[in-house]
Amino acid sequence: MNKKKELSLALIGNPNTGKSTLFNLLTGLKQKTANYPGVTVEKRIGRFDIKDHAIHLTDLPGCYSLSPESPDELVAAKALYGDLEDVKKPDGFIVAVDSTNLRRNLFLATQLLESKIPVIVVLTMWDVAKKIGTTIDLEKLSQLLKTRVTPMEAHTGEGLSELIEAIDQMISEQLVADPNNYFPEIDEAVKFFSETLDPENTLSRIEIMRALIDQNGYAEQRLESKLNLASNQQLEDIRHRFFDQESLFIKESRSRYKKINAIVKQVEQRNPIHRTWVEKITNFIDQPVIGLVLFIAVLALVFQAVFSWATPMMEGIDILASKSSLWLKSILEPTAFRSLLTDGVIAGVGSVVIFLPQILILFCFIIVLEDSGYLSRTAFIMEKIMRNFGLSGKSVIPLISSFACAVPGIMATRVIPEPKARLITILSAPFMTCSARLPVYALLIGAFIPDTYYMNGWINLKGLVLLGLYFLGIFGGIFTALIMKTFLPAETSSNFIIELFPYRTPNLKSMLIKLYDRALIFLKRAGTVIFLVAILIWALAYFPRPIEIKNQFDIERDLVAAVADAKEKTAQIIQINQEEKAAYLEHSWLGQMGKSLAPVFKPLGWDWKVTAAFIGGIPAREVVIAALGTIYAIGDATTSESLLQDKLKNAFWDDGKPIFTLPMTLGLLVFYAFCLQCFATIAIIRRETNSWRWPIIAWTYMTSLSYLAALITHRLVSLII
Amino acid sequence: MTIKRLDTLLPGESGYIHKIKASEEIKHRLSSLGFLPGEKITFIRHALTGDPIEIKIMGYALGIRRDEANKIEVTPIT
Repeated sequence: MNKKKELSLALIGNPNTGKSTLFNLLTGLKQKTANYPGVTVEKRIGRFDIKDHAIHLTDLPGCYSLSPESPDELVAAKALYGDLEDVKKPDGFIVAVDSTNLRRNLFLATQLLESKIPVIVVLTMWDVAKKIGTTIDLEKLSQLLKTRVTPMEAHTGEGLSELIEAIDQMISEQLVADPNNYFPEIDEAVKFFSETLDPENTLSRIEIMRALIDQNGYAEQRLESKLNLASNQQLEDIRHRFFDQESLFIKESRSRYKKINAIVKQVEQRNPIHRTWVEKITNFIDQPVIGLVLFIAVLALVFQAVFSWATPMMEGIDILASKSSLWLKSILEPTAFRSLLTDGVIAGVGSVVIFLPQILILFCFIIVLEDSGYLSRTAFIMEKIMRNFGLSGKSVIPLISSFACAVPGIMATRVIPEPKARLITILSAPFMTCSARLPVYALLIGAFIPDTYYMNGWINLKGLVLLGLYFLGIFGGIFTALIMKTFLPAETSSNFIIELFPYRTPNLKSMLIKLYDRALIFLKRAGTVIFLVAILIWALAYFPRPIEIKNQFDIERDLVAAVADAKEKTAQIIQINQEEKAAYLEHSWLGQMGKSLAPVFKPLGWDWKVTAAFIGGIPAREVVIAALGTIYAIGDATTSESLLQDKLKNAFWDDGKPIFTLPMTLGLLVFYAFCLQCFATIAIIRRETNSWRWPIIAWTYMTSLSYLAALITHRLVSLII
Repeated sequence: MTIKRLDTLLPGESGYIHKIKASEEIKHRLSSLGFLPGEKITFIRHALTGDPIEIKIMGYALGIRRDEANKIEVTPIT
């Protein structure tokens, strides 16, 4: 087989024009998602073949213009010049242009049509345009833009073969472009620039033109370094020489839109004869009060789905994990290796996979909300309220997601354009009560909060405490947001301009590919961290294993051997084995750490066992239950919660006072409401802020806050009772 | 010819853009979105909290804050 020729294409377009659907349909599952180096902009590269060409398609982030105003747009602009690290300069552009919104979409398209890189214009939402009575003369448009134009339907994917044909044609025509000129007013200045600063003609018209327009921006800086200019003074001089005070940016917009308007007039016919049902629905549900009611209903549905639909699947995974653990124990000798497999590997993998059903359901909802156009409404509705806390309307969905898990929540903060609001959202997200906190709450509330009912049995104290903990989390998030709002430097530019996308039926195939992609990211990010840490914790709890302990318990086992009753004997042996395990733990590194750190937590009423369990849970808070289970020697903690609760109730200090008193338990609950015991979250904060600074600050801050809050709770409750 | 600020229009009212008095940066952003003198703009509604507001320009809907809207001058269409 001969080697295929490599070709690099870039997909670009305004946000929500069906660009990612196009990408997914072209490349299917042959795609990779990563970050562009240094920025948290998603880099998606996919592959597909046309005849003897292997095509690498880069999905550039949605943008409105080539003059970048956000990290997303900067990536798109860099792609034009071939300045993106590890992405080849594109041999051609595919521009997604929304047929229902031709004028604004042509703004970016015509900017690209001024480069020497060939362009294919894909008119997306072709069927939607038809429905609302808009027709576009394809041939005429192609003629006026001097490039290939193909139509594409939104949710059927009809038009894909025409696009592939157009790409094929573009390749066979040697990838030459016929650049247009939509801003002739700048030509003289470009010519002057070329003659005076670039006599060897190393730069193309578009590079010089964009640099002149993009005052103090990326295109200007890159010419400065290319031509070794000391400052932008020479560019400034040219701007003054040829233009008056008004910025070139506005001049460009005016000239471009004038030409676009002339084109659109010739090719587009709008006959809005009747209002479509989509318009009627939009007008109904976008009304202020109805909009709010719908918003709350959507939130309730998401919560309901995440917490109740996922339960059967989660139970299934739990059973699977303990079954395979038991099976391994039955076929392997009790060695360190067996313990590593069952208590390290399976427990570690299980603690990640168990959250997958919830995460998948959550992602499903977010993708549907995104692709249907509803997400922009949630931001619109909540903007004013969130702004009071230094957050953005766009913080709502990330924060809601964090009630399932902070990892996807923090991943979702990418939609927030303002750096400060995004950072505040990232640091508030871990305060939302995630599902991993629930087992901890359930255990402690179940054991120590009295089963009291109020209001004729309508309200249960246990439920009330749980609800209180949820509100405590929200309160912690708001408190943090307010602190950060006060102490962080103000946003350099704060504006809220958000397109309220028309409601649309999403493309199913594209949604499934997106879901697969995001689930994979979650598994990779959270998975590897939690897995590695689970093994580390296992090692800390397993080693060293002094031979004296074994000898001591061997003696006890020998004694039991004399017991006649077989049933009684087995029970005693199990008991001894568990006590042996507890003794090992006490002497393990984890146990020793618990003992040496215990004085620090004494004011909270914790003994060394609770402290050791706390240390075990630092990488993943839900591990604290399994750790308590081992320390209190009850064997497999997951299957015997009530047993663990009994053990906790019967845990005493040396002087006979109970350890788990009401003040201590409430303090512990408050501690777990605030602490950041989750390495996966720390890793995702690191990834999303691109430095170790914020994860370290977040961990230190949340741990101190949880200690303080637990201490205050302990003292206050002690005073009251 | 009266000139009004965009945020003082009533829901459903339209006007032609007269002048945009925002900062350069916002002016740039708005101009690439089609906010240029002479373009027709319609005030659709405001959020329940009164802010932001929804407007329509060139056939698409946009949410902007009152802080930005009050820097856009329009000549109302009666």
